[in-house]
Amino acid sequence: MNLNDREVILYAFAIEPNHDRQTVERYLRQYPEIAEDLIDISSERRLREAAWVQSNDAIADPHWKEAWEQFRQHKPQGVSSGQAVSPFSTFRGQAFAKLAETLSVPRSFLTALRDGLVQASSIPERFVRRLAQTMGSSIDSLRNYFANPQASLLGRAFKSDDKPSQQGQVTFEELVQCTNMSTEQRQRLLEDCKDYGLDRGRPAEG
Amino acid sequence: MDSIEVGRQKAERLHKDGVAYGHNPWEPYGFVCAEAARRDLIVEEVAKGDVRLYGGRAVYDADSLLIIHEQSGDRFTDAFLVAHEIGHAEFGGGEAPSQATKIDPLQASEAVPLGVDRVVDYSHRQRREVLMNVFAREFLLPRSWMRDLHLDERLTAAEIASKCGAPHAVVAQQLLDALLLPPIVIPEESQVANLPLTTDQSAAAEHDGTPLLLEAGPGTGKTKTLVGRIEYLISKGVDPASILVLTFSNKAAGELSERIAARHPQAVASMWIGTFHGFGLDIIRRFHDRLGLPRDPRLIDRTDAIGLLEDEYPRLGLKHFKDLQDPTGNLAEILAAISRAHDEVVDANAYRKLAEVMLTRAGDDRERLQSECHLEVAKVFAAYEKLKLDAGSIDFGDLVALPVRLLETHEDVRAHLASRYKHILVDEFQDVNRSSVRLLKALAGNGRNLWVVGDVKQSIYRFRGASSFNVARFGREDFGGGERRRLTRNYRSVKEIVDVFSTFAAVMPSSKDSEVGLDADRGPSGYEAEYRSVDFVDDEITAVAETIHNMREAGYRYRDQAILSAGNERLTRFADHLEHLGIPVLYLGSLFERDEVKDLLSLLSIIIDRRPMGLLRVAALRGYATPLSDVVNFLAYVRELDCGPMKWYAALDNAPDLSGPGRSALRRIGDLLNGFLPGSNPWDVLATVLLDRTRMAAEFAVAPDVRSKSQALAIWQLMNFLRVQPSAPGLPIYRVLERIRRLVLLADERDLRQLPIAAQGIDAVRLMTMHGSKGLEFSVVHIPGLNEGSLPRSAAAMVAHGISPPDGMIEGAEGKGTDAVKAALLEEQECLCYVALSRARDRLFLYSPTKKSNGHRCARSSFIDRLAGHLQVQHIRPALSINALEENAVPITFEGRVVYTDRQLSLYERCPRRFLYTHVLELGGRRRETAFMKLHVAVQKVVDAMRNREALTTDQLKALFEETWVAAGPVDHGYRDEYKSIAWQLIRFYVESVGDMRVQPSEELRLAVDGGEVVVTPDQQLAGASGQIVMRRVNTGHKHSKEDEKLAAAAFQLAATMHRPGCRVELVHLSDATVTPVSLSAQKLANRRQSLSDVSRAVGAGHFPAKAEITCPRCPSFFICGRLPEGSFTKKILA
Repeated sequence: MNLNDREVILYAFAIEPNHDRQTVERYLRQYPEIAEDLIDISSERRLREAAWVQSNDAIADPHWKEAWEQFRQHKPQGVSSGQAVSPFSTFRGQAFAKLAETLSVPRSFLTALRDGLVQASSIPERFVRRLAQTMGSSIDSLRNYFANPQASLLGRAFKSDDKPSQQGQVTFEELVQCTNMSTEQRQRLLEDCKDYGLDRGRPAEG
Repeated sequence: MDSIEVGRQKAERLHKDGVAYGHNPWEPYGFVCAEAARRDLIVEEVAKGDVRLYGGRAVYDADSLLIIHEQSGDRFTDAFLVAHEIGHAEFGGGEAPSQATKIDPLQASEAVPLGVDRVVDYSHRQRREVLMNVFAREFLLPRSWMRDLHLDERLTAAEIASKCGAPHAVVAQQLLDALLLPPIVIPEESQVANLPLTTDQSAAAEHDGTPLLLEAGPGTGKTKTLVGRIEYLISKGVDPASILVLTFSNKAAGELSERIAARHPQAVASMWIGTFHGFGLDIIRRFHDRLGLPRDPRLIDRTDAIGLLEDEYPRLGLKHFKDLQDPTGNLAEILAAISRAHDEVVDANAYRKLAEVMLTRAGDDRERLQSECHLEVAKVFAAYEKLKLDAGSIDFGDLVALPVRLLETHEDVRAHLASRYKHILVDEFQDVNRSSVRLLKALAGNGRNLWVVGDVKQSIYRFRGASSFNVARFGREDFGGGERRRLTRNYRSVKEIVDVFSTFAAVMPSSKDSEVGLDADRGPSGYEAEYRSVDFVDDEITAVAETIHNMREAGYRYRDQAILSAGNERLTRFADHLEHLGIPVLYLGSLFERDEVKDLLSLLSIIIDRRPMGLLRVAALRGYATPLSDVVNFLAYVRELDCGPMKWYAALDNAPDLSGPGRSALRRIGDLLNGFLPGSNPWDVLATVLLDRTRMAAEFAVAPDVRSKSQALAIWQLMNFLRVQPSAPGLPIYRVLERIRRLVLLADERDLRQLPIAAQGIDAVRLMTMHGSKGLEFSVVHIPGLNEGSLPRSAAAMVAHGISPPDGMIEGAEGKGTDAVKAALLEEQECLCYVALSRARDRLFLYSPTKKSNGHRCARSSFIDRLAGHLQVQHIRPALSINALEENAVPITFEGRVVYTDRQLSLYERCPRRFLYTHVLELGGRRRETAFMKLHVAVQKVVDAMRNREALTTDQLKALFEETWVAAGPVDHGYRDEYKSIAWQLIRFYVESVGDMRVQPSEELRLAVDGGEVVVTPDQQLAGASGQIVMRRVNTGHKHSKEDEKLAAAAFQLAATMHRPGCRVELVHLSDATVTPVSLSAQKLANRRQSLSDVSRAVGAGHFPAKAEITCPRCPSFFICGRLPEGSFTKKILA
C-alpha cells in the first residue's frame, strides 16, 4: 500500500457516519496494516461524536465549536466509504511534476485543484477535458472529485492536537489570476474560461 | 533539545554542500531556490493569504515536489520561508503537507528559563517548528561561516547583513551563538539507556490493573522504566492520544519526548507530555470561559504580581505588614504565603476562615498576633485574586489550583478529560503537592491506569508544598488499592558509595519503616568514600583543590568532577578561590552581578541617565581606560550642565580639568554609544556594541581559558534574556534595568544561573547547588561545608523569614502550621544530602572545617556521624594556601580634615562602597521613583520647611502641605488621595509630637574625632516648659532595628550633649509614629567614639569595601558597583 492509498482509506474511515465497534472492526479486518492509525482516528472520532451528542457544551470553547461547524459543513455529501479514490492518487512526486508540465501549468495550480481549493462549478469544461485526457481518467470522475473536496483539505484535521481550520475556496479564474505563470500559460487558461461560456472579466491585456 | 542541535548541525553541513555545489550563499533567495531545485523541488510564490497557504506563510508538499511561500515583501524572509520548508523536506516524517505559520528567524534554540517559557515548553509539534526555524537560519547563515567572516575577514554583523540582505538581528543572533557558545558535541547515545529493561523494570513497566507507585532510588533506571512503560502501552495498542505524562520540569519532559520520538515519532506527537503547570495552562485555555477568564489569560510572575499589589497597597490599610517606604519585601512574603495556599487548594475565603479559627483559639498575645497577620494575608489574598481576575491574568499557583477547582465542580469537564486521558503517568511523584494530587484524583478516578514513579528520599521541593505525606497516602487514602513496587539495583555508583547513601537513608524520617538498601550493579571499587576535616574554612577550599588535582592525576578530567553545596554563597567563594588556584571552574553564579554583565548593563544605563554614572564602570574597561580623576571631574561637569541623556558627548570638548588621554577615552565611550536613543532596544544596542563597534565577542571567541569561556556564556545568557522582554510602555532600557533589579531583589533570577546546554563540553569543575544537581551524575563528587548549622540548617533559622501557613491549612499536618513547616524543612535537608551523596559514580569526598576563625570549635554535621564505618576519615593540613581576595584601597587624598554629617556616617556604616559613590565621588544616580518615594520626598520637604519656624496654625500647615504635595507628591497616581491622606497623617504626627514644647532655631553641632569631624544639624530643637532642651532627628520612614544605637545616633548624642549638656536626644520616625530617645551608656558612647575615629581613618585611607546585602538591587550604584578606573583622586572636604 502506498501512502496515498493509506490516506484515502483513513479519510473514508474518518467520514463514516459513526465509529462503532462494527465499523472499526470492518476496517481493521480489511486494512490490518494501518491498524494503529485507524484506532487513533476512531477514538478521536468517538470522543468527538460523544461530546457532540451528549451536550453542546461538553467542549466549552466557542472557537472550537465554530471550527467544528465549519468542519461539519465541509463534510462531503453522498460519499460512502471506498468511493472517494482520488484520481490524483497515482500522480505523486515526479509523476505529478510531469503532469503539471504536460498541462503547462505551475505545480501549485494543480495542487489547488487536487486539494479542493477551487469551486467545482467554476472549472471550465475544456480544462477538465484536457485534464482527464492527460491523466487518463474520466471527466465524470474528475467532476465528482472536484465536487467533493477531500484529501489534504480535511486530512489536515486528522491530528488530534489541531483544531480544524477554516479553508475558503476560489474560482478557477481567480486561481489563474493569482498564480505566477507566463503570459502564454495564463492566456491559454483564460481561453478555457471563455469556452466555459462565462466571461467574467478578462484581464486588460487579454 | 538535542534534536534541535542535531538539526542545526545538519543544516550547517547542507549549507556547505550547497556552497561546494557552486551556489552563492551571499544571495540567500537564489541559494535556497537552487538548493530546492537540487532536491527536485520547485519554489512558487503566491500572495499573502492565498488559499494554498492554508493560513500559513509557506507550505511544503512532498506529493507535488513543491514549496509555496507567501510574497513577504522581503527577499531574505522569502529565503527563510523556503529554507524552513527545505528543513521539512530534509527531515520528512510528515505524511501531511507541512505548513509553516510561526516563522521566527530569531528563534532561540534554548528558551529563557523565566516567565511563561518556564512553564510552557514547546509541544512536540511546536518543537518541530522551532527545529525548522533553527534549521533555516543555520542553512542560510551557518555559525561556522559567520564565525569565519567575523574572525578571519573581520566583517562586522552590519557588513555581513548588508552584503547578504539579511536583517541585522538575524546575523547578530547567529554571530552571538557562533562566538560566545562553545561548539556543541552531541553525546553518544547512552549505552544503559538502550539496554533492554531488566526483569524488575519490565515488571513495573507492564503493571496492570491497579494504580502503581514505583519507588525508584538513584541510578536504578527510573526514566528508562518510565519510557519502557510508555512503549509498553503503545505496543498494547493504547491510543497515544489517551496517554498523559506529567513531569516537573520542561527539561525532563523534553528528554522523555525525544526518547520516545526516536522509536515512535507518530505516537509522541499525539501524546501529552509536559509539566503539571503546562498541563494546567492547557486546561485553563480550553475551558477559560468556565473560569471567567479570557481565551489566552496572561501569565504573571512574582514581579508582575508585586507591581499589581503595590498600586493597591495604600488602600489595603495593613497594620502588621505596613511598610510606607517600600512594600516590596512584605508583599513578596505575602505572595509566597498565597502561593503556598494555592499548593493546598486553599482560596482567599478558606484562608480567612482558617485565620479566624486561629484567632478564636489564640491563647496568648503571640498567637493572637500570628492570627492577625494571617487575617491580613487573607485580606491581601482576596484583593490579589480580584486584581488578577480584573486584569484577565493568572499566576503560577493558579495553573494547578484553578484546574483542580474546575474539575472538582464541573462534572462534565471532569468526565470529558477523564475519558480523554486513560493512562496517566507521573514522574518525580515525591515532588507533587496536594493540589497536583487532587488534580490526579479528579482525572484518574479510581486510578486504575495511574502509574507514578518517584523516590521519597529525593523530595527537595518542600518549599513548594511537596510532601512525603502524598507518597505515604498512595494506595491508602489516595488511589486506594494502589500497589507499590521497588527497583532495587543501582547502576550508577560503586558499592562503597551505594552503601554510604543507603546507610544515610536508613534513618531518614521520610523513609522510615521502608526498605532503602540497593544492590550495586558495579560492585566494589576498592575506594571508600572519604571524609576530610580541616582546620579552618579557607583550608576547606585548598583541601578540595588538592583533591581535585589528585583525582586528575588518577585520570578524572575537571569536567568529571563536581562540587556540591547547599547554598550559593559557598559556591561563589569556592569559584573565586579555585580560579585563583588555577583550577578551571564552571559556575555562573548570580548572572546580573557578574563583572562582564555589569559592564554591559552599565553601558546601557549611560544611554538613559542624565547623570551617566555608568561611565565610572566603563572607564575601567580595557580600551576605554580613563583616569579616575577625569571621570569624577567630568561627571561633576555633566551634573552642572544638567543636560539630557548622552548630550554630554557633544559637550566633551568644553569640559574643563580633563587630561588628554582621559578626554579621548571618554570620546571613545561616546563613540561606542553614539546614535543610540533612550528609546533604543537593549538587545540591539548590545549586539551592535559586541559585534559592530568592538571586537569584544571576537576576543571571547578566541580566548582559550575557561574563565573567558564562562564570561562568554554569561554574556550569551544575558543577551538571551534581553531578547525576550515582556512588552510594556516606557523606555525599554529603563524597564529592563528595573526588571533586573527586581528579579535580583526577589531572587527570581535563579533559573538564569543554569548553564546553557552548550557549556557541557567545557573541561572545568562543575559547581552547583544540591538542588541543581538533581538528576545529574559525576564521576567524582566533592561536598564541602558539612558543619552543624550549615547542613542541616536549623529549622528555626529557616522559618525566621516568611509567613508560616495558618494552622490546619496543610492537609495531613496536624497541629501548628509553623511546626509543619519546620518538620518539612528538616526533612528536605536530609533529602538534599541524600541527593548529593548519590550523585557520585566513583569517588566521593566530604569536607568540613573544625574551627571557627576565632579558634572556637566548629562541630561537624550530624549527617557525617551517621555514616560512621563507611567513611575513611582523616584530618588534612593542605600545603596550598589561598590569598585573601581583598579589595584594594581607593587612592584618594583628602584636602584637609574629613568632615561628614551624621547621615553620611550612617551610610558608611550601611555600606562603605555606597558612601564612596554617593558622598566622595558624588555620582547621584537614577532610581525608580515609586509613589511611596514621592510621598516621602513631599513629607521631607514639609519637615525641612518647618525647621527653625515657630509652630504653624493648622491652616498654614495645610497650605504648606498642599503646595508641597502638588510640587512633589505622587499626584498622577490613581490612588493619589490615599497617598495624600497617608502623608497628611505623617505630618500630623510630626506636629503633634512637639506637644506644648517651643520650637527653637536648631544649631549646627560639630564633633571632632580622630582624623575628622562629624557635623550634625538637628531637624528640630525644642524647649520644654521647664527649659529642658530636646534635639531631634526626624525621619519620614520606618525605624531600622537598633537605629538608636548606631554610630550616627551616637555621634548625635555625643555632639548634642557636648553643646548642650543635659539635653535630650530623640529620633522621630513618622511612618512608625514613634519617638525614640537616644541614651547610650557612657561605656557605649566611649566605644562608639572609638568607632567614629576608626571610620574617619578608614575613609582617609580610602577603605571602601562593598557590603553585599540582599537589598543591593535597591542601591542606585547597583550596576556600577565593583571595579574603579585606574588612578588617584583628590577630594576636598566632604560635608
